[in-house]
Amino acid sequence: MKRLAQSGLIDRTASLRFSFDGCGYSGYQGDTVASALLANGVSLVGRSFKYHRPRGIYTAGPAEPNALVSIGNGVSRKPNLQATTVMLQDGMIVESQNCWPSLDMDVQSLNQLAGPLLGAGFYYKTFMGPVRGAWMAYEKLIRRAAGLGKPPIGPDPDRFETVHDFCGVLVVGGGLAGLDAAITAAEQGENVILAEQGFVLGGQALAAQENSIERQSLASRLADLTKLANVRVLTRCTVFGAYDHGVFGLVEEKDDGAVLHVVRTDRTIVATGASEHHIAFPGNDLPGVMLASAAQAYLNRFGVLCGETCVIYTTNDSVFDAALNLAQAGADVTVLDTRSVIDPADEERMLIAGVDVWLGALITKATGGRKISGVEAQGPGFRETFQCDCLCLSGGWSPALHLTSHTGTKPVWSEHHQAFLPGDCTRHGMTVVGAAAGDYRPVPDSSPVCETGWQTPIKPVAPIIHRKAFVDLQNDVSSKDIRQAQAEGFENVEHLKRYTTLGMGTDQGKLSNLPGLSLMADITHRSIPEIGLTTFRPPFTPVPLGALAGEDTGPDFHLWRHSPLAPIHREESAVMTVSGLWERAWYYNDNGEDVDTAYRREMEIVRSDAALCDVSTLGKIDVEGPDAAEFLNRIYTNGFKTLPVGKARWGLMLREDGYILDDGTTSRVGENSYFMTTTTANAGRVLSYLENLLQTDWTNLKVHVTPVTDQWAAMVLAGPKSRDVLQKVIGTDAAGDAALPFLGVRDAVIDGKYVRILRVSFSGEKSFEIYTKANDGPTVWRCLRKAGAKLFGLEALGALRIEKGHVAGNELDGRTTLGDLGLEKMASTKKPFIGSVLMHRPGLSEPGRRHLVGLVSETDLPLGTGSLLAVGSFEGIGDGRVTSATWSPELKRHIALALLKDGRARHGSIVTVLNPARGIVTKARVRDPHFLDPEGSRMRG
Amino acid sequence: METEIRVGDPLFGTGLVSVAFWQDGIDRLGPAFCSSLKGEFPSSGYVASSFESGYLYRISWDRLLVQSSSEDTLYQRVRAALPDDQAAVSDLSHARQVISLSGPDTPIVLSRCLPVDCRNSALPMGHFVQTYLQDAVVLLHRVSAQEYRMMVPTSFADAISARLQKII
Repeated sequence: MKRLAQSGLIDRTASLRFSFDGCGYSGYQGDTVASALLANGVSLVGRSFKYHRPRGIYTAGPAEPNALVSIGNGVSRKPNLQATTVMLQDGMIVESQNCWPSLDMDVQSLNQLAGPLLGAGFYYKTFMGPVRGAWMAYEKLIRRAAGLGKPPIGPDPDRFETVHDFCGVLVVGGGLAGLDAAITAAEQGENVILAEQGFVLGGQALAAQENSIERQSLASRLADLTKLANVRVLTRCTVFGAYDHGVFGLVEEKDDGAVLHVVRTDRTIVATGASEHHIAFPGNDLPGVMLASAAQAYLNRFGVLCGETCVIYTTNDSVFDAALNLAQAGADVTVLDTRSVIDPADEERMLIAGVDVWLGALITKATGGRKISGVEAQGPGFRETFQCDCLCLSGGWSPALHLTSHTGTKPVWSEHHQAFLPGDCTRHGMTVVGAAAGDYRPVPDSSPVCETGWQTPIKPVAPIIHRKAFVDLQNDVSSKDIRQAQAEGFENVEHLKRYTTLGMGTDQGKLSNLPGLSLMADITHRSIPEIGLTTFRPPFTPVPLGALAGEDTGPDFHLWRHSPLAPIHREESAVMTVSGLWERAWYYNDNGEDVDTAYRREMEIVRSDAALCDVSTLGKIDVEGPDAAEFLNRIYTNGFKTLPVGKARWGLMLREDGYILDDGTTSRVGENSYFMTTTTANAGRVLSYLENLLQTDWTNLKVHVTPVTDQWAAMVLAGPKSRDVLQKVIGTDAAGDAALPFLGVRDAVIDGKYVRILRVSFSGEKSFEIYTKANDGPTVWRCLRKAGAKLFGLEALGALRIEKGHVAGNELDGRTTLGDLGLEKMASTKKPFIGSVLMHRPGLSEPGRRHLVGLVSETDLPLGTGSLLAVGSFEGIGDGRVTSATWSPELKRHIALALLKDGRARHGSIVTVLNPARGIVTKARVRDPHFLDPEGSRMRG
Repeated sequence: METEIRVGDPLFGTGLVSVAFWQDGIDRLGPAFCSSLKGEFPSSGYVASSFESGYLYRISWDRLLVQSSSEDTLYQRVRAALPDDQAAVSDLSHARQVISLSGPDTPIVLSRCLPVDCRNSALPMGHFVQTYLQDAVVLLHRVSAQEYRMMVPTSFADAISARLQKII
């Protein structure tokens, strides 16, 4: 291997330094990592996945199965990159993978000796015994041995962005066919995006010889392109997925990260070219073996001659230009062709160039250690050994039809091409051109030589060899594995893939699919189309997770919602926490208290005085219309038709299947106007559900629902002295029991601001929910504070409701029924409502369901939320779980709400509480869930 | 990037009312209602129409959004024009915040966060679209060649504003 003094598209004036496994090398601007390594004589670049066999560079593009490397160091290290696609940069640190202690001396290469034991399915057969659970013991060892590159540990310093792009035409692939398509579309006035995976435009034309017709065509098209302002060219940009409605995912590599382009397009032109595939025979994976197209690309594009003595083994016509180029560059070239007849013109060209051509040839073995040294071949009347330092393979070409497959379009087998071609995907607005459509002419619009650019059909070769040969190089899947899979019944192509891992990994079978299918077809005496092709799914090539996440990471993972009272919480030294999408006041910090001390103090204030809490996060919905009462009557389990104006009612909604959807309070604020509140967590879900009912099932009802969550600031004023505080700000009569009875609703004015007050209770204490327009919230809050209201935060709010035995999101988890929670009386028997039929189905009413109970710890240990419960000894997941837990200042004990199997029949009994996450095991007594004031005299008083 | 962001643009006003008509009421009553506001009925779900103190948006087949700078009186004015047997009317004056973006790079800024085609052919001046920015419902209105206004839920306004600033 050597860099030629001239030729190639590299910039020889720009020298770049890089290292590979600690050794310093140099390359040029325009090199890939692979071409630079080859130019420096590095042939061994990696170890194979399973057997740790020495591997070299096999391709010159994205189909590369072997040359996977890590680039960078520390937290910037990127593993599993294909050296054949990475643009060389100055100072680049490149390391080999999957080897220890070094690439040259890899201990795990001993795996090759155990090869007979490591066939297809060996994991399933070997590590399941001898006793149940044995896998757990093997797993650590296997996981350490398995895998390729190691991911960096630490935050990724790269910068990732997401961009939404729109265009009239998306052209995928910047080869000659793609350039033609882009230019034509742009000349017709279309807005075009041209995406090219490589870092320069040109595709296969870059691999053609200087002054060839391909290079001349490329130059003229590039000149045309620069004149068109309506073509946006994205290089280093892979179209990795096609999705519904003309949406495509593109990832554009940048030096310091990547940009994810979500492109919406009217039409797409797929010009993704075709991948050459290899041929399976013993030794076909040795360093020095590569695709013929790769050898040609390294020669003509990068000025690297991959061997002094080259053997080209082919089944088709595509190699003859490569053979000529290599010979002209000074290599001694021999062509071994599996066909018995080739085009006489090609034969003559080879003869003139001094290239020996052996027809009907079959390589039986490649020889060598860490580098190929020769091949043994046989044919009609000959059996020869050919010495070589480079073996170039061409088993035919497969169009890169992955994007068309993503749309669900089935590929079509072409006997002439011996390949699958894209099916008709015009209904997806997709047109396939160039080699991707099976048009292998060197220049798409030149006078056709023949339909495909080739004179003599391909002769399939993969089935001929019956000894162990690698079919999938990335996963070390051999011909023997495929035979074994067939023998064990895994003949279906999808089974074959999963049993042997054929076609998995970073290359997704670009190289190996067809040889594998061809072999299975031969074994089962079926044709390749009868075997079929596995389904291609996105991504076409690996996409960094960072690119998918974009900027939505860390504190920017979500857009956090802020209450209109957020400025107040800052003034009041609140410690904030995130709950769902909301930032909420967790507790109010008084002299550096921790959360436990603070919430217990705040609870005691609520039980003895009066305190304010921000509940602006509650879902709020205006329900309006002449049929609003009828609508509410249908969605709530209890009656709402008779609710008078100025009154509120707590209600429960079920889903159609009989499970509880949500709870909340709805107030009648006008003859046809209702004000509904939902839980914070279910606000969106309830609104969508109600909208769906009105727009599909009950279109005859004159009702509209409008979300008004953000319109209102909401605060709870709770505690035995809450009425006193309220009377100070709205007057004694207005806040008196006659004007504001339990479940009463009225309007008032606080400090000049309109408020709507609901007398409802979540904490079990006398309590008022005060709603005011969002911007007026701080004024009203400050006024109530001046009148003597203390503060309590989210933690205390949750603890208070647990003491009261009030269910919330933890208990309304979509799996509980009215019966489970002891709320059967909430179900009206006088009217139908959503869920009223299916709530009575046997599965929801039979014995053994988990009931809501209260638990009181028998020890000083807490009862953690999520803890498992067992009535006797633990079996499986036990008999129930803790849904909400807290310390009760009222009982001076740790308490909890829990769902326990047949819980209501177990009041008074002791259960074991297991918190595996914290390693706590304790005992608790089962009781009624209402720990405090079960008669409700405090909240009604 | 050359984009200026203003949160709570006073020129755009803060009065906002949702009007939802019963069944086909929008076509029967909508034009007269808009005339009463001295505005034009927005028959399309893409083009905002203006009235004396703001804009009218048709945000669904049966709903209008009335936006005005006269916050104090807008709800009462609309309610007076449409009794509750004709339409449901909700005051949203505090439920939305307006974020204005202006400058030549605004389409690039928007492309980083909204799945909206801001090219002239797709979003000409006067047009609006409704979309999502993560979980937040957003109405984007192009009011001039280089000026766009986003109407966002108040609770998301701070976070969206910070996200836009970060992009710039």
